[in-house]
Amino acid sequence: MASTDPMTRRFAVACGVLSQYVKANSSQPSTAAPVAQGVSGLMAAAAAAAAAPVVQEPGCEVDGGGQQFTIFYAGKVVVIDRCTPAMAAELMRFASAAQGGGGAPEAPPALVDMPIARKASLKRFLAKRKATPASARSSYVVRAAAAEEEQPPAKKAKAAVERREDWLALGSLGHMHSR
Amino acid sequence: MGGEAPEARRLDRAMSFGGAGSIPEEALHLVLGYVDDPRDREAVSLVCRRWHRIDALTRKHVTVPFCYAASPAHLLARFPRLESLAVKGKPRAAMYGLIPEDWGAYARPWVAELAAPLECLKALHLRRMVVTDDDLAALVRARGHMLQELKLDKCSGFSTDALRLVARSCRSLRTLFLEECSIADNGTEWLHDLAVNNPVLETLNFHMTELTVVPADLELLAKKCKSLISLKISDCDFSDLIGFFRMAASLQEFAGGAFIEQGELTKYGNVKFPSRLCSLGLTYMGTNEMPIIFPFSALLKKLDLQYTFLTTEDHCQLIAKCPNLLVLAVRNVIGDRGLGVVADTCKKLQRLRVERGDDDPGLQEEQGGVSQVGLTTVAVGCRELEYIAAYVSDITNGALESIGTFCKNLCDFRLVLLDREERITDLPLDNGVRALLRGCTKLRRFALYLRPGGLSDTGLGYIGQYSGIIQYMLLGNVGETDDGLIRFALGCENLRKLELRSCCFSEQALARAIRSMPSLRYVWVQGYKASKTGHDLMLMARPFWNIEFTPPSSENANRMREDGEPCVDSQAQILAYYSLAGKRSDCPRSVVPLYPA
Repeated sequence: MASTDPMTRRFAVACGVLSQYVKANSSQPSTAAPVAQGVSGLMAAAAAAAAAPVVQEPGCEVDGGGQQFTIFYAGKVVVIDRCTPAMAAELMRFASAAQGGGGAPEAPPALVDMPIARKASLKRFLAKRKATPASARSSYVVRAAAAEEEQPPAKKAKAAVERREDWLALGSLGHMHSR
Repeated sequence: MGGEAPEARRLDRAMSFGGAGSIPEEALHLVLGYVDDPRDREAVSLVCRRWHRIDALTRKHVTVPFCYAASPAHLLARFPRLESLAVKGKPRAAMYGLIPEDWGAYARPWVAELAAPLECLKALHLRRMVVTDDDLAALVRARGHMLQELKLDKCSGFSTDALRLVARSCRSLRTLFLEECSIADNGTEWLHDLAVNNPVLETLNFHMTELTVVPADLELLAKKCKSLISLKISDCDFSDLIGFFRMAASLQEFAGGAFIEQGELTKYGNVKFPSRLCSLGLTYMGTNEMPIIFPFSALLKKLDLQYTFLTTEDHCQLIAKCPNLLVLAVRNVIGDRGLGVVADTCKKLQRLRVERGDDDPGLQEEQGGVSQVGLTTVAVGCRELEYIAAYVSDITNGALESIGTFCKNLCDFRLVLLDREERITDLPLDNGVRALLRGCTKLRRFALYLRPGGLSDTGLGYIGQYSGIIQYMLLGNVGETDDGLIRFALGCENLRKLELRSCCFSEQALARAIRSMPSLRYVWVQGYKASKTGHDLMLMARPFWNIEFTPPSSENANRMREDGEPCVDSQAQILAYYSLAGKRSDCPRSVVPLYPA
């Protein structure tokens, strides 16, 4: 809970989106229609960034100098009157600094990255099989090797190492949770 | 019922009321003694107060599908004469390592406030719960003398000390089930004590546990427990089990053991199985050991090859010798070729499970695992199938259509499309899924885990529309937008339990969809467009509907596993369920109860 990394990262994502909007907007005359377009673009981009926490909507234009920004973030509402593109840019520099000088904003983990989970019992079996002494598995390995004779041994060894790492990674989840 | 429904209803009412013409109390007691189906019981209890009372006094078994949905004290007050109680704890995701160990589902209140005070209790079944030695001691003290069945299924938190107590005190015990439990091993005496004290034991299962076994204790068990019909154990070399098998004349089912020294045929050549054995699962069995099954393979009804070293070719040879199989469990190493043999040989097959094996094709999957080819062959060849669960590498609409056309007895279908193959022959699966659901009208459980693009919003709408009597669903990587979810939810009349994973839906759409499914009483979601606080989930808030939110673990959010995948708990989880017990009081820090607040 103490870590603010994900928060600042998301903030940075939101600010990245904001910057696109500001850029798009400043290159156009400041009339109502382009603003609306800009906003819808922003919303779409925010949605694409998956769970971006900022919803920003310019209110009615306050003078010629700037617009009103409303930022909803982490349960707080921040309203900035007469926000100029320069001010928005500064805001973004601030956010980038808070992120620890990281470069381009990094997107939160995409949903497609969720690995298909493996049943614990099979995970244990596969791990145990790898741990079985080589002599015990010899016949199996020899047969498997015969079946896969085109596979060079180096590649096979690498595959074995990768599998072990995979197991370790999954196995360590329990420790992470119990913290 | 049809057109006569109104009259039937009037009849029920007339019979139920007290006074002249009503069924005598004793008669109702006797009649209800023959009503076991929980849904019938539920209906009976809703007729009137009198029926409600008599149902409560005659109810023998209750399953609590989720331990935080009801309070033990309330159940004790309502059903004081229960003989059998089953309680389920953690979400199913716990079996896949997705639920923290300290999540909850403690057995304590269920044992202390319900199981122990129930004077008629003979059977207790706890699933995915945390059970302590103290809990088991309290149970044994109160009910040990009459306990006939103790099932601890995928539970954790206890040790062999408690098992020893059970073994010594529960002399009527017929079933002791500990499969996949995480048990602290403080010694092997419990098994010895069980053998000495429980002559009526019929079923003992500590399969997939890490418990150590002394072969002599198993021999003693076979000698003392003449009616032992099922034994499933942890790893123990088969060369040490020869004596046990010789002794266990009644044994019909065996699983576990281990072929520690593979390739030494002579060592296991002497293993001879009891003559009635018809259910088998031999751990670490390889090609050289397989022939010891051949002499009686034609008698086998149940075969579990999930934990073996067999190749695709081995599967083909062995299964060709098993024409009477009803239940078969394998890993996907069986391949389409092996499933072809299943289709040709196992005409009575009712249950087929194809689990996910090693992802590395080098060691196992000769022919790229299982695909539409194998599934189609099985659907055409095995018409009695009631259950199919398969992890497939490829799939087509046609294969799903075949299942819908031929497997008319299917009541449980689960399909996971693995993520290794880049190209899938035929996506989206909208029409295939529709054909399957329309064809398999007996389906009660349905799981479909695909990949992005695997099922469009239209297909998701079909699942809702043709969900029929399905009560449980698991959906992963389905749909394209919130609209699909909303269309799905418009159907799903009878859906009680829903699990969603890795879908693109917003919190708002989830909340709306959940609210609109009339029978839904439990939902678990991981992988959606989560907000930091889960505030949009409050749209589904209503009385008795508990909402628990697990924000993405902040310490794992940026962390990657060694293989470059993000940690599984880097995604938020939602659990929501109807509860008469109010807000749960034992939430770990990782869980935020949103409602009631």
